[in-house]
Amino acid sequence: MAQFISTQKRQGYAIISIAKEPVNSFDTAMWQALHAALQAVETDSSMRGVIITSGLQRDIFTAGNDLKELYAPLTSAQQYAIFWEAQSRCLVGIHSSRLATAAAIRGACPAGGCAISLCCDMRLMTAGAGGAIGLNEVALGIPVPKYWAGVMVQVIGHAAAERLLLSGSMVPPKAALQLGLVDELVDDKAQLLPRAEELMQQAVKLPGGARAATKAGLRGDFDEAWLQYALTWEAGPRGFARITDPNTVASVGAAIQRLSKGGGKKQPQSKL
Amino acid sequence: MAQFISTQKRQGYAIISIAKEPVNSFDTAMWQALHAALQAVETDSSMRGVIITSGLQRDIFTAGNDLKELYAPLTSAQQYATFWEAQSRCLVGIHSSRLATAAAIRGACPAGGCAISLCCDMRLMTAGAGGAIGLNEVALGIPVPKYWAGVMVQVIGHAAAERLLLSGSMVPPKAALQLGLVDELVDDKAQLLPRTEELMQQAVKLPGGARAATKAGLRGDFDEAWLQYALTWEAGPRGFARITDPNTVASVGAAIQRLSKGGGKKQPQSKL
Repeated sequence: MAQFISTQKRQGYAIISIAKEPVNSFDTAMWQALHAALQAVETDSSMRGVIITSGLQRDIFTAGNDLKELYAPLTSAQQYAIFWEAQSRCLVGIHSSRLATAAAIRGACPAGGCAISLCCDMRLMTAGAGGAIGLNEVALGIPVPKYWAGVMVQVIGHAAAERLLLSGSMVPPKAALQLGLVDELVDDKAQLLPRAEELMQQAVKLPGGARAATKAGLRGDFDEAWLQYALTWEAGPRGFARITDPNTVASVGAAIQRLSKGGGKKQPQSKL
Repeated sequence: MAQFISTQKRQGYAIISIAKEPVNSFDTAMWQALHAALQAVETDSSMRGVIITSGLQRDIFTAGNDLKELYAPLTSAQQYATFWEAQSRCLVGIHSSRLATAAAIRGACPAGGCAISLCCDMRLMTAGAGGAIGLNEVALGIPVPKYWAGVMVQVIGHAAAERLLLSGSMVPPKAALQLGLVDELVDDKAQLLPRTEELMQQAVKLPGGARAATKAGLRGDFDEAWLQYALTWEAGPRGFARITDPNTVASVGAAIQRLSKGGGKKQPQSKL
């Protein structure tokens, strides 16, 4: 799995690049690998920040969860528990990181990819057509995980988050900027990473301990509750019951069908 | 200490003026004195509101905590506990007050001064250059106290608060108004207190009991948790460990050095 995730170190921060062709779908191993890459940066005391970005050929941050992990006929209660735990530990790890975190988003950022980016302190996105961001699970017949919705509420406020989540919406770049879903747009995609690095260089100038402690004060209770809920409820029988629900099986099955037939489509289907 | 804080009573409300030259730095005695002045207004049943303002010569609300209380070599675990309790009881007292509270901010309002003003129901600020407001502790190498950050979140929302706090930013008056950090700007500083009194006269027309009970419903759980956390964790060994951290000692020591050399500077350094 290490071959899909690469880390480059700069002065005071690292860049984690995710490139699992074609769409960076996240199965258990990918969540574990991303978490391990993050922890490797965190244990380096010279590191005060990390940028997460996609190295894919196509303009996709990540299409999110690999549907095989969410399709009951292809998984099991035990496998689902391991998957959900790996995903949750990774996301909570990003959200609670002592590092200053930034997501550099080139193109499409649905579902699980949106979750990764929302967990970062800041988000930059390419301005061009084809870009879109959102937790669009409802449009695919899947509930938005409780604390993913909670992170979106933190970022754009309750009312705006409800409107997007309950309609399963994806948001284009300009609207994303207006909502505060992303912090900055970059017109030229070749400038996405350089601009993210500029902002990161500013962030890592600050005394790291005070910034990290302040972030922990702001997010710590939420993250503790999130991990507890994810491991106790969502990874357990109640969580698995969600995906064995016949409606969910039908929805996810249909999505898998569309994706296997949809090769060459310009916009990737969300894998959740 | 009573000589630094004076209270004038008007019809239905009081004006508490703080004037400890040169910058209204808050040591243990000052926090106790402000709290006592607030309580004296609260126990007067004819009082339904209070305005907190600065009587300093310079355009400073208060520069915040006296750094001597935060500099480990000059204090002790016991003194720090006494200080933190006095500060926290005062701030929670303001935030939870049955009175309608208003901060009339002339000029600079960093750190502890910002905390006092955020705990009030409303904030008016002079519009002129030299005015700035924010919890800028991170820029000084100190973490923002958890519930101070929580109050800022209440006032301007989670995302905006995170952006300011994690960057240790101070905000000029126009931006403060746009963010909702302050409620109104006053161009002529001679009109600051008169305009605040106008708004307070409106506020105290309302039935005091219903307004106070509604405020308690909105803030009560938060304030209970805040005081508990401040007294149990922050005033205890864990809190003292924060200021004995070598990085913090270095940062605070450097700030004390800068301030003792910086006499006559136009903008006061934050005292936190």
